[in-house]
Formats: sequence, structure tokens, C-alpha cells
Amino acid sequence: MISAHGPLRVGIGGPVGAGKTTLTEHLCRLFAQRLSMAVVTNDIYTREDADHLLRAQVLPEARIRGVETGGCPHTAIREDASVNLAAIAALRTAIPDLALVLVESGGDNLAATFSPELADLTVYVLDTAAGQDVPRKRGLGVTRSDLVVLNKTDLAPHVGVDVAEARRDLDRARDGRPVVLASLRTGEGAEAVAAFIVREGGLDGEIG
Amino acid sequence: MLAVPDLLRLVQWLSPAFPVSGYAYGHGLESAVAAGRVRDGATLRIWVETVLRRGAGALDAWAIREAMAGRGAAAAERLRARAGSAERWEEMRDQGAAFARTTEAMGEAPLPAGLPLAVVLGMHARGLVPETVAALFLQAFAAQVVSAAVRAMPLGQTEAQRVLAALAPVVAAVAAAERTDPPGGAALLSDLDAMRHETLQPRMFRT
Repeated sequence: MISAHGPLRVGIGGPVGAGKTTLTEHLCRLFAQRLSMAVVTNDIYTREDADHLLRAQVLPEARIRGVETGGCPHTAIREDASVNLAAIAALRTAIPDLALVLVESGGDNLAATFSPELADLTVYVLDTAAGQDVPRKRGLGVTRSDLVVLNKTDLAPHVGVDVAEARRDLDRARDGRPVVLASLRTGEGAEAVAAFIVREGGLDGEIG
Repeated sequence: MLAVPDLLRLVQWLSPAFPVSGYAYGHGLESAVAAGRVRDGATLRIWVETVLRRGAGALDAWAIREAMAGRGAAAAERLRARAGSAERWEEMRDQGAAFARTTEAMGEAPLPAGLPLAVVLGMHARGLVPETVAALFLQAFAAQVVSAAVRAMPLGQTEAQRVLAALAPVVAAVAAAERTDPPGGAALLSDLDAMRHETLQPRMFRT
């Protein structure tokens, strides 16, 4: 179905190494057979990064756009997203029935947020192993994003982090807005994120 | 002299905050840095001066004047034909599209699609002083490349500003030149840098 409003655009942000590309890969696996989707990734520095989703064979090349950001990943998703908007426009021209575009940031600090002109829904991925104090720092990415994914919870015992405490701190920082505990290396949590996107993004009618 | 409201409009359009994603483009500089030919303030100044005098700078200044004189479509064709590489054309075309998208959303007249940045600016700036428009455009372009250098190599913020200040006479001279014919491109090493960038690994910039 072609929506007059264009595709739902979901921003995936979070620090380098938190699991943004892994989440993107899982979401492609869960959605690609059920609706028309594409990915714009800023997470590229070498061809290796750009080829990751291709190698995983979750989306054909024509549905993936890599966008370099000149070392300014936050600028590209926030104060001047024109380069990403152009990539989405080019995808819409090439694939008119597009229902979902994932926009993966190139790696952020905790204060990074997506421009409302670029993303309709935002997901912020955190790494449990980055430290017990990260959820307490309350960066705008953590407090304002529509969904926070606390990834790599399986590593908690090895790095001295208490997941229950991290969860409480996130709930407090986010005023009770949704948090998903995940271990995306094994896929745990990915379906909850997908369900959130379907529900909050109004994709029910698009799913085949 | 430009009236203050016109000057403010021009400065807003050419500010690095105006959303054309200028931060994402390097004009091929990244290749010159990777090859070690641009490695400090002195070598950077020479590289940018050559591009301003003999490359995109002179050609864009000509195109701005042409567009301001009502010959934008022909100037756009010429810029495309003379772009030193595929990425150079993408750089001016994509920034032109982003510029036109924003100005249109702000209430300016819509423009045909696919015009390069210099032509889009010239079309919107009709009625202003061509030399001033060209000078501010070239200054913004030089600042964009110098800013890319700060991110791509060890170059401090103060040294970057010294380089930009040293380029001011070049910017002024290129902006003042009135030409009937478009200048030929002779910034050969920088053109080769832009071509090499297409396969450069790793890379931070789109061009």
C-alpha cells in the first residue's frame, strides 16, 4: 500500500558499538518479507561497514543507502539532516511503495537526538557493559527517544553491572516510557522492538 | 552596497548552519590528506587557493554571475560538463537540491530540479550585487574545505582560521573577476584527488 504520507521513518541512535547495526539487521529479518522497507545508514567508514547488511543478506543492495557524514554524525541526524533526507527521497523515487525506512546513525553521545523532520519514531540503543552510571546520566538520547533498548544484558555479570538497577534508573530517567532489555547477539529483544514499531508507527495495515 | 536585509538573507543562506549538509563534503581533500600532499596549514592553503583560482571557485563565481543575469540553466549545463569528477558534480547538485528545498519551504520561488548550488544561489540572489554574492559564496566554500581539513588531519582551530584569513585576497580577486566565457579548469591535482576519492578507504566524507 502506498501511503500519502510516505514511509514511516524510524531513527536508530546510540553510542558506537552499542548494537545499532545488529538491531537494524534483526529488524530487516523481521520486516523485509512482510512490508516494503529500506535502510539509510550513516554507520559507514569503510566498505566493510556498508557491506554488513548485504553480507547478512537481509536486504537487497537497492534498498540500502550508505551516507558519509564527514565526521559529524550528530549534525546529520539533528541540526542539518538534509543529506539523509535526500537519501530517503531517492529511495522513495526508486521504490514508490516503501512503507518503512530505518535511519541508522553513525554513533552518538548520550545527548544526541533525531530531528523531527528526519524521524517519526526514535529508538536509542545502549550497551549494558558501558557502565552502571550510563542510564543515570540522562542524556537527551536516553530521556527523549521513543524507545530505549538496553542491549548486551548477557554481559552484565562479567562487567559488574546490575541490570535491575539499570532498568530502574532508565525508568526513572524516562518517566516510565518504554524500555526493552535485549541481548541482540542472540536476537533476544528484537521482536519486542519490532512490535513497538508496528504499534507506535501505525504499521498494522502495512504488514503482509 | 547591499541593503542590510539583503545582506542578512545572504549571510543566512551561506552560513554553515544552512541545511545543505556542507559538513559531509570534502571536495576531494580527503584523498590529498591520505596521500600526504596536504599535511599542514601551508599545504592546505595552497590546495584551497588552487581550487579557488583554477578549479571550482572560478567556475562557480562565473556561474553565480550568469544565474544572476538570467542565464542559470545554461550555466548549470556548463558546470555539469566541467565538473572534474562524478563526485564533484554530486557535491554541487545535492547541495543545490537541499538549498532549493529549504528556500522553497521558507517561501522563496520554487526552482527546477537538479541545479548546482552556485546556480541556485545566483537565481535566488538576483537583484543583489554579484561581486558580494560571489565573494560570500567563495568564502563559505573555502571555510567548508578548511573545516573538513580540521576533521581529516591534525590542524588546530586557530591555524585553520589563519589559513582562511590568508585566502581572503584570493576570494576577493576571484569574486571580482568579470568573465564573458566560463573559465577552464586547471586544478589538475585536486581533480585527481576528487577522482581517487571514489575508491578511497577508509573515508569520512561523501566527496
